[in-house]
Amino acid sequence: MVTEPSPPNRLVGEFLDLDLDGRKAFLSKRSCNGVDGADLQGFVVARRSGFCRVRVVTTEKVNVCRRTEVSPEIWGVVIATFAACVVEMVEATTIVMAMGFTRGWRSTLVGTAAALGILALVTAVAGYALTTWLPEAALQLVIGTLLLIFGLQWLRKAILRSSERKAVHDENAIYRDEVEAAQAAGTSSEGGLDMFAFMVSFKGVFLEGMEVVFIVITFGLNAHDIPAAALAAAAAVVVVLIAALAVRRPLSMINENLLKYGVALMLSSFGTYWAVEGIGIFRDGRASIEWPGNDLAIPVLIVVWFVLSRVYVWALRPRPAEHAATADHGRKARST
Amino acid sequence: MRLLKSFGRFWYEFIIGDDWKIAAAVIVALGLTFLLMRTTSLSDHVLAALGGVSVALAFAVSLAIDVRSGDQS
Repeated sequence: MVTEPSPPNRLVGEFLDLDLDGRKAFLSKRSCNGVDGADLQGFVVARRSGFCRVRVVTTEKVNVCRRTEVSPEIWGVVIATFAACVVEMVEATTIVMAMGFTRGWRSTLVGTAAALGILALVTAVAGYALTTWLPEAALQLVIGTLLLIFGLQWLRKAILRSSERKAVHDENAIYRDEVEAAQAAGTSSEGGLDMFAFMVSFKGVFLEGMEVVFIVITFGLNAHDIPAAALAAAAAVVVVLIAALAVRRPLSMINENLLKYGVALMLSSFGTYWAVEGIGIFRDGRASIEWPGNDLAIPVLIVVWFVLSRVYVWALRPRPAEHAATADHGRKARST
Repeated sequence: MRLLKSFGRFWYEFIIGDDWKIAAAVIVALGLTFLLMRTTSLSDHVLAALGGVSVALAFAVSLAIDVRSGDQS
């Protein structure tokens, strides 16, 4: 990476004309931009071929390039965020629908809206705080480690489900359980709200949504495009809501297990990439560890995790002899 | 105190979840990569590749422990 000497601090707030000299400048329609490899961040206020004028906002942090076109990395972020959000929203929708149809819609929707409001606030505050205060390699390490933990937990479940060692997630069964709980619960109202419906829908949406918030922040931060990740999440919310309104029952027709498997592969791959890169924070100069091929390592990691997961599924799937033994054991148990 | 406890429990359940072995595997793998970085003069590319391999190995071990112990929650 080409490194521009840090401009003196007096430049903050001023305009700086940069000769791009073949390097990438990033001109976003939205907000903060910068120059590839330069020790500054700022807003691009004008750009012509080979030249751009930047209003400097900080000289403390090396910015990473933002390209004028939508890069494959951004597409990866958008797809992963959208798919993860669909999975979580399907689960939240099951709870919300169970409450709405059983206990009434007013309290349920108020609980849902309250949770969505808090989630949006958390995204904005945490996103701002993390970008402002954490150096890049530290960000990669923290983000990568957490993504890796989430991704591998999802991948573990996907592998166990595909190898028939764990029951497949069943939205219809969850819906029935929620309806039973809602019918059995007593009435308790405050301020005209059914507190049971309010709390259950609030908790359901908030807890499922926290994972999405986390994915939006982590993916968005690393791609330097939180708005793109947030937009993908919002699109998923809209799509799932429309589908739920249209069919008026749990969205069990969505192959949630397959979606979760795909998201797990992406989270694990991005997580591996960033966490390993971020370990560079502990060496002199605090420079991130570079992967061979840089960003191209991400698709390679996706393929590697996919192949590994299929090998695990194959290795863990019960053999015909084990199936027969299990069935035989079941017959004996029934006959006694 | 109770608030602090439930705050801590929320984050534990959110990050560690129902399988602490995965979190442990990730920490061990990254710890190994850190040690390699500090104690050897391997190039970045080799370090990154070894980091990836150690994550994959640690995951395989945690999965094997799960399957052997029958813990597939």
